[in-house]
Amino acid sequence: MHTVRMRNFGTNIVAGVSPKPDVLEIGGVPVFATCREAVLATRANSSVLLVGAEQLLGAIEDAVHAGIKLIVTPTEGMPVHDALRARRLTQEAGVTWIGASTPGMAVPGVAKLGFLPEAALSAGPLGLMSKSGTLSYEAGYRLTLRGVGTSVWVGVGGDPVKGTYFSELVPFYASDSQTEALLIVGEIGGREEEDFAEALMAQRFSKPVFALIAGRSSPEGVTMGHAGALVHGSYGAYTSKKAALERAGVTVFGSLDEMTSVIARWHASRPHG
Amino acid sequence: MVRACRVEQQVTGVTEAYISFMVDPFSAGVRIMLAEFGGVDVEALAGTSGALRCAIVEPKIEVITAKVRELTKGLTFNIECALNDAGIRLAHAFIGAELSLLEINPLFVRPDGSWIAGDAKIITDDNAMFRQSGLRALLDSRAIAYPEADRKERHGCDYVVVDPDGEIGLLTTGAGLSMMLIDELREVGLRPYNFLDVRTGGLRGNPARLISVLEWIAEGPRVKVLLVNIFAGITDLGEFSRLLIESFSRVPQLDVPIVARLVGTNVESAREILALRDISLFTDLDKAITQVRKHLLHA
Repeated sequence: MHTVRMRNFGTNIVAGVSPKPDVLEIGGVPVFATCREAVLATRANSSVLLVGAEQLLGAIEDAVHAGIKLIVTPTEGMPVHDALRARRLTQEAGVTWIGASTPGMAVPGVAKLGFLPEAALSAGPLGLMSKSGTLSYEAGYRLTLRGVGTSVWVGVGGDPVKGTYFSELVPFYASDSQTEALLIVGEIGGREEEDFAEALMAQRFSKPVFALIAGRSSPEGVTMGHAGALVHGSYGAYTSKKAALERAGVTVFGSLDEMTSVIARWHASRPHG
Repeated sequence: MVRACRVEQQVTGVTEAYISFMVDPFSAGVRIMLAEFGGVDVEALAGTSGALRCAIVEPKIEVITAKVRELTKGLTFNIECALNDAGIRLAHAFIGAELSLLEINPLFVRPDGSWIAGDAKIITDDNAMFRQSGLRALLDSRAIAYPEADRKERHGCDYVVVDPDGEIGLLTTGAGLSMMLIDELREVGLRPYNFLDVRTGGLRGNPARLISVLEWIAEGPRVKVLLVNIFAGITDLGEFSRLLIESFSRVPQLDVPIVARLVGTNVESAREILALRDISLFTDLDKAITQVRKHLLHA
């Protein structure tokens, strides 16, 4: 089902991988027994891994060793220590890993890897990165209804240890000519938004940046005791993220409604041509 | 309500040290922190005096223990011995049990270099439970002490009562969107009862999870309306609506109006199914919230 939908969206799917010997093709796409065989036969360079949480680390290792350069893993429930190993491996191998727990990524009008809903996807000048899948759908949907589309949408996923953090994509969005502004959809917990704010300043990011952060009224989830306080000081809380982002010149929204209005206004006020 | 009381043996003639291991996400490593001075004031004592020794290393037992030995060099001898010994044992625990945090504070050190943990804080990984039989057994034997982890393990969804006197039960999918929804409802003075990520992707045509969730929401003494918010990437909304109706009919104790906001695939089929039970279906979340308000005014 996902294969067909991704292909209908424009993704060039050249191969599938399945350990089941009786599956030879799906919708005209040849299926191979291993990732290595698939890459050798088709020169695939990206892969979406639709395997269970217990098999995810192994599948990532296979993909890296097969020569895949972009790996997207929607699977939820990846053990933290497996994620540590996967992050180390992909970084050392120069492989981009998006995930885990992500609906994927998309370039509207070109391709998608994963299952971002079509209702939320339209082509336009706004870059979008998100920890949460569903909150980003809501944001993308509302913006699409107001005529604001996205350039490159990356779901970094909600796991604490993940393949790619917001801050790591700042250079990309800075140099991407299709992206005129950037929206991050974040959440309390961890220091990803704070690190992103620092990366913006280090990059001297000149495009407008917007942020929608969920969890303002929720208490901090898991507290890391003294260790957390020693390391993080006041990271992780909504107030910390808002302050760090605003210091970096980011507009932080108080609601979905405010986000839609402000971004629609920015979109309408852009010089055209 | 106090359910039990633990009495510990008194420890005297000791000094208090500190040691912790914590997953460092960005560097994909383990952050080691240790200090000769521990206790409740560790942040003041160690943080400011420079006595806190830190390093981030590869998540491997031998690498962690080697780094601990390096970091303890030069400390008062009995404390160095205690922390080195603790380092080995705790590294095994941290890696073996796949912990995200393991902190011993204070770590009581006796003059002879032996030690005893005065207090410990441990954060386990729900996602690793399937291969951590020891931790799983602990969770099963005292499930009442870990209600959220227990629910997640048994039912595959995240559910938290955020306001015991809340009036709006939430049947929602997606942690981020659910959190944002709670923020927005509170911002306009409304009181959500619970947080929920029902994970529609894992329902597999079985109403069991929805029935459990509705039973939990029914426990809310002031719940007057149920708001369903599903923005589906891959969930068939027609299928979901069938399951919702079936589940609702199996939980008669939750006798409240339902407002459904659904976006995604097969929404027309969902509309037909829900209309049969007089459940209003919205695609606009703000309009759904307005309808929720109306129900609260009439309740």
